Amino acid sequence: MKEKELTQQESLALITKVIQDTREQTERSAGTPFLIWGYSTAILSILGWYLVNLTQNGAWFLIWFALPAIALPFQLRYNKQRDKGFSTVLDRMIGWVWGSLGFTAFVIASVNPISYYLFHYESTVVLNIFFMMALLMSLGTTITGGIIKSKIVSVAGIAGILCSISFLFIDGIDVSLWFGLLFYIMMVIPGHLLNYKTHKAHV
Amino acid sequence: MFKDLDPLIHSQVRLAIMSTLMGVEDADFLYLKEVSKAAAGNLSVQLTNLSEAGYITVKKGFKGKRTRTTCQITQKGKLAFEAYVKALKDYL
Repeated sequence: MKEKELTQQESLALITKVIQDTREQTERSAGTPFLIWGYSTAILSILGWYLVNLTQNGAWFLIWFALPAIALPFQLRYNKQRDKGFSTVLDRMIGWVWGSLGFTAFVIASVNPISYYLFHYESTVVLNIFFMMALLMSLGTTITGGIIKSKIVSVAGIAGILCSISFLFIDGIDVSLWFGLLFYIMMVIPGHLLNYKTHKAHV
Repeated sequence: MFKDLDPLIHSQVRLAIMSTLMGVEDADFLYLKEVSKAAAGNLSVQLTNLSEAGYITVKKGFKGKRTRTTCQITQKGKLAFEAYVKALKDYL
C-alpha cells in the first residue's frame, strides 16, 4: 500500500498535533495523586486528633503509619488506569522526587517510635515530626510544581514551606488538626484546581 | 539552498512515530498505533524500517502476562528528526 505523500505544511501540522496529543495525555488527571495523598493525610490528621483526644493516649498518633496502606492502593490503581502507553522524563523525575521524599519521611517518622516502643530507648534529640513531614512534603509539592510548570502547585508548595515553620511553635494535640489543614490547602485544593484546569482545557 | 527531506522520516506514519518518540522516553506499540492511526501490520513494518536505520530501538518485553513492545528514539534518530524539522522550516 502506497502511503499518502505529505506536503511540508502537512508534515509540520502532523508534528504539532502529535506533540499536542502527547502533552494532553500527560496532563490528564495530573492532580489526582495530590488528591489521594492530600485527602488521606487530612483524614488521618483528624482521626488521629480525635482518637488521642478520646483516649488521652498519644500512641494513637502511630495511626500515621497507616498512611501508605490507605493511599498506596489508590495510587497504584490510578497508575494502572492512567497507563498512557508512554513514559516521559517528567514522570521519572516526579517519581524519584516523591519516592525519595516518601522514603525519607518514613525513615524519620520511624526513628522515635521504633527506638522507644521496641528498644525502650529514647533518642537524645526529639524530632519535631509534624514540622519535618510538613517541610518534606511542601518541598516535594514545590519541586513537582516546577517540573510540571504549574503555578498553582508551586505557590501551594512554597506556602506549605512557610507554614511548616509554624509547627515549630504549635504545641499540643491540636497540631494534628493544623497539619491536616495544611495538607488540605497544599495538596487537595491544588489537586482539584489542576484537574479542573486540564479537564476544561481538553473538553 | 534547501536540504532534501529525509525520506525515512517523510512519511505520515514514520513522522508520527518519530514526533511521538521525540517527546517521550519510550512509547509502546499500542500508543504508537493510536497516534499514527496505522494498521498493526503497517506499523510493524515502519518500526522495523526506522529501527534498521538506527533511528529507534525496539524492545519486546512483558507487562504482567501480556507482551509489550516499547520503542525509544536513539541519538541518531534525534539528530535526524532535528535536521528534518530544520529542512522543513527552510522550505516554508
